[in-house]
Amino acid sequence: MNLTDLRHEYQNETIGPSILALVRRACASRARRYPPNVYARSALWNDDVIEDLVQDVITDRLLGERQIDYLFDVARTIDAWRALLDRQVRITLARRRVRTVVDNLLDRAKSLLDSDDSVQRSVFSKRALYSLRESGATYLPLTDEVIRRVVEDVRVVPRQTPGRGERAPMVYSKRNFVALLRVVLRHAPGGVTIRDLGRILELVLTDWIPAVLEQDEGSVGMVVEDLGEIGSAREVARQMVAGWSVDEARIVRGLLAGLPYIEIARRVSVSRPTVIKRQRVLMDGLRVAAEEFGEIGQKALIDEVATSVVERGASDGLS
Amino acid sequence: MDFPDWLAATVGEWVSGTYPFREKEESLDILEGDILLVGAMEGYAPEHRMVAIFDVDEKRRLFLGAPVTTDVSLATADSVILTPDYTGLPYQVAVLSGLAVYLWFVQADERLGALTEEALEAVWAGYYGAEDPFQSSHRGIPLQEPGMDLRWAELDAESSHIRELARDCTDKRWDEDLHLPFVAPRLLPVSGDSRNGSHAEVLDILEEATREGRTRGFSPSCVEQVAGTLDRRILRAYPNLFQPMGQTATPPTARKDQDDPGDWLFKLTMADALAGAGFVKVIGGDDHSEPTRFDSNGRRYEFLYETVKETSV
Repeated sequence: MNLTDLRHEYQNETIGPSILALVRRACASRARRYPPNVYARSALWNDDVIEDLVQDVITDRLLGERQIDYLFDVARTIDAWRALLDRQVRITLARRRVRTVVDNLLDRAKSLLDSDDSVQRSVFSKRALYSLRESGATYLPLTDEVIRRVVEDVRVVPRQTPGRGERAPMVYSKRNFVALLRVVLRHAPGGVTIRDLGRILELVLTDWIPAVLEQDEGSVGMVVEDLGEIGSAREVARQMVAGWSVDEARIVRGLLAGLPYIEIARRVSVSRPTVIKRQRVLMDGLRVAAEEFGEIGQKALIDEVATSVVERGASDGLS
Repeated sequence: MDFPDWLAATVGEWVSGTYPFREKEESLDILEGDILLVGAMEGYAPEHRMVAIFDVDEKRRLFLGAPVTTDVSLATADSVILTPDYTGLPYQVAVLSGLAVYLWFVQADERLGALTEEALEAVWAGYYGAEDPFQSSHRGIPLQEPGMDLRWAELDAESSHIRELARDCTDKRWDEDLHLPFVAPRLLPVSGDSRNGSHAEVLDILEEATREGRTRGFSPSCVEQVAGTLDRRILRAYPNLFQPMGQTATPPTARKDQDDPGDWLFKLTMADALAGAGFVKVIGGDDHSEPTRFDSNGRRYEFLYETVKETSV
């Protein structure tokens, strides 16, 4: 089968026997390289499970998102076509896992929010609605703009890199997840539904789609943690963040989120050159502090700074 | 081979996509906003890529194009996510403005779509880091540090691929001294660790001059891209040297005889970061223009429209 024949089939039947056979082959080849308990919704990769993946790839990606058109638009050789198809399979698998991880996080969120005295649980359109008790605002469905803003802020919260074979990695420590939920509730004074939270978390995990499979293929080496150094680094970070003004904490939070200076300036209500000058001072301080530690300590320092500035954002009020 | 019922039913409901702008000719009339399929020059191997064109140089027969992908999870804050209404393509795409490269006209294989005017503006804005009307609703998630954002490896691969496609054009435009944007490395301060952000002084000077009466020039976004965490942001700013994992880039052949290639390469990257964004260019000769600025070392710079020029040291 060459690309000309394949294209002919696509033009006449969209997906005919030859394309279907190649999809099946790609799914079987790719899937068996990944742990079934994570990606297969099953204990093993058997024919039925592979066929389920084939259906997902075709209905969701190739037809649902019209990637079949893209494949034939871009590929000029059969090898290129196969490579593009393989990518569609990988993305389908990655999305499965993200959904699993998000479902797990949503379960944790419900549990945490239900047991938090400062959070009020009510009902909106038969859905559970969570809001800060002091808020008193009326629920409004979150717009894309608000969702995006929340995502930018909560992506600062340190995550744990997923390991191979973990069906639903924890992603966040309890403290970090609580900080994340606080940020979300601050952004949405009228409250959020679990569905809203799901949208946010799926976007937060955007970078898992192209990358997590490759990450999983490698082995995760054990790190002998120097608990003393980690503890010291965290303490230094906490003291630094505590010493920062509200605006300084906002600037660092924006930098960690990857926001452009102009956006940070808008949030802090100062000029962009001022932001640049202030961030230099802040970064110099962090750099000096980090020099006291080894690699593990430096990572702990930055993670603690990230968590602490998010927590401060939730308590000082976000902007 | 069995043909499942679910597939027969799904395909039966399928409606073919339309391509109102599709065109394949020997010599395409290339316009800003075109979404083209581009191939490699002879002797280069990479596969075709879809690119969105946002600057066309008719005289030199080259254009500036940003990779277009259907994997919208790769979209960062400078990328634009576009639905079919904005492209004439039947599927959603992300235009990775930050990875734009120069390509020859002859590399264009086929026109597949065309950006609407506002989408073209958004792609431009993404490249320059400026704001545009739909910045918030059509942008991707900001890219964080490599340790925090899992997309770096994939973006690096995408960048490598598009740079490989652009290699012939990139090499030749340097070799042939096409006077495309370039800042003399000696304009940049050399004292101290060049990676610690000290270049910010120069950027401040450039920016200040830009604010004084020029309609277009060294934009705030350019500072954003090169100040602060300089090494990473510079490389993001100039995709031809995009190397997030810190690999060595190939320097233009015209400058390979410098004494300290490492330091020089960094300075060149810095310079290209400015120039690659299209705001500054150094030119030779002795003609003077206004306005003129001095830095703390007494070096004088002249700022022209899209031009920075060192006249004396």
